[in-house]
Amino acid sequence: MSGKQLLHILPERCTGCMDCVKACPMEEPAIRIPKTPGGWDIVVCRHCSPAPCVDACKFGALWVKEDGTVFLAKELCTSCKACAAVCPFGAVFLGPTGEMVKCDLCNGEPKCVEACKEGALLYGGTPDKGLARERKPVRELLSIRGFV
Amino acid sequence: MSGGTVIVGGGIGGVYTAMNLIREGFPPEKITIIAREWPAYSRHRLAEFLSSKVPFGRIALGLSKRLSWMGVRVLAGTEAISLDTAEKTVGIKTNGGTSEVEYGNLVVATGGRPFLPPIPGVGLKGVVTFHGSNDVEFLSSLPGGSRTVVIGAGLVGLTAAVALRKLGHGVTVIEARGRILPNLLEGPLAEFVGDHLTRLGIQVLTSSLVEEVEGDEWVEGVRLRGGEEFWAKSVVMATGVRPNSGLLRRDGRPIEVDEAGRTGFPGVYALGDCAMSRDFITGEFVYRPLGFVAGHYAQLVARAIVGRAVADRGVIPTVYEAIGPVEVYAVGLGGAEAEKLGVLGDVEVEGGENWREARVFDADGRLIGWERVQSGHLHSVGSANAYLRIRELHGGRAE
Repeated sequence: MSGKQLLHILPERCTGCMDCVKACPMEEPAIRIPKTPGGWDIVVCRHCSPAPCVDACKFGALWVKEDGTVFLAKELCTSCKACAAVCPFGAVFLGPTGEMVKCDLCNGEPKCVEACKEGALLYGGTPDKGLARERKPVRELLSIRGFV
Repeated sequence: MSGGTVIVGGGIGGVYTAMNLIREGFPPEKITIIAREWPAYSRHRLAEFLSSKVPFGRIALGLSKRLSWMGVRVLAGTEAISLDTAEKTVGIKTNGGTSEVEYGNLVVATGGRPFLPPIPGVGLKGVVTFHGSNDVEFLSSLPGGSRTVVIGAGLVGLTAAVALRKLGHGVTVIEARGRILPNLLEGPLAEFVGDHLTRLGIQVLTSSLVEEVEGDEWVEGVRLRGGEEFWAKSVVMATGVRPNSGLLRRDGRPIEVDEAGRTGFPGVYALGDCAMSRDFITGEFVYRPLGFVAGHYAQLVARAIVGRAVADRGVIPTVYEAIGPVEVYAVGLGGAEAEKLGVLGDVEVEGGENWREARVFDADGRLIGWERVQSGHLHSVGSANAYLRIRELHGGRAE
């Protein structure tokens, strides 16, 4: 895959089977599927660019890798939660042990995407949305999603 | 060690200054850390350390070990007791006595200490703060179903209260001011959090002054000014933090610094809970004993020490905390802080069944703060939007 890939979320296809949650190799799964009145939501890092969490982290624990993955280095994290305060998707969160949890895209081969039989999670380009051709600023990403 | 950098304090501010210095190319062997406690650990994980009984290793900062491996000299179990800025030496107390350490640059990262109001009985056994691992170790040792009174309803007090409740203890929170989280949230949002605490079985009293912590040797209860008494086996004092600034000033106030963390003494820097920091929105220097503020200045001080230019606009507060089922977000200035800084215009509050949100504006109608409380699994897109908006609106502030 090229370096400009994105995780795409299609909650309308989600059936709440939790296969993605079970497939996440992290100690505390970095993907969460809460029930909503109309179905299911998919809460996982969208790897924004530029990412507000990276900007807010003063400990150098969050950075953007060359392939665009927003990466959390647990060793550098103090759990100050500034990243959680500015994440637009609730996707970097406090785990039960007090450590922050965030998706790292499994080094470019996200296990949740492999596990999702419904096609609610996609990894790759979506030329029709224009998102994969060029990494968009988070404000634009939010506006595409109708949030701002 | 002449020409080296000596860091006083082995907490977050000290440890991250050392890391940033190494990143800037400063030789690790020329860094000395004077640390009373070692390894460093994160106070942000104390509530989980208590409620989930995670081992100490999970709250310790992995970075501490790495610094030692890299050659940073750590004087563990020592404390700085004096400073001679003319001779550029720090006096330290060790197990065996005292000695002196020379410095080229000195970073004072001595942190803060819990403020204990002058209430009779606060020295009794069973009265603790929620500031260190020893506090948590004591609270962990309480038998199940004990009664605890938490004095102070800020973030520290409330996270402690929820952690104790999770362990099955009876918890009463007593706050002197008119609402919980008075420095962080607007009234209707604080009320929302209070309702959820009540549903968890935590008793919350506001506008209540503690007259005395009662007991002989051990705490037995707390009496309010109105005479009401609450029986308790332990009391958690969560009544704020004061700077450990004694190395540089005698009046107990935070150390004044410039935009790069420099003090008035040549080669001496200060950061974290012992020092002032600059607010991004107003450009004013304020006292904010918050972890990310220490992290911000740990970057700036390291840059200044290696001789890089520092032009910094300050910190936008970005606070998140989970208080039981409620998520609390606060970005920028709260109404109370904005008023104190003389920039408060309007506050707008809206809400629904599971959430409340407040937007704080200055007199020119520009956004300066955003707060939200919510329960259940909802997105918080407004926080990123507010953060970006505040950066955009106030980033061009005249120096």
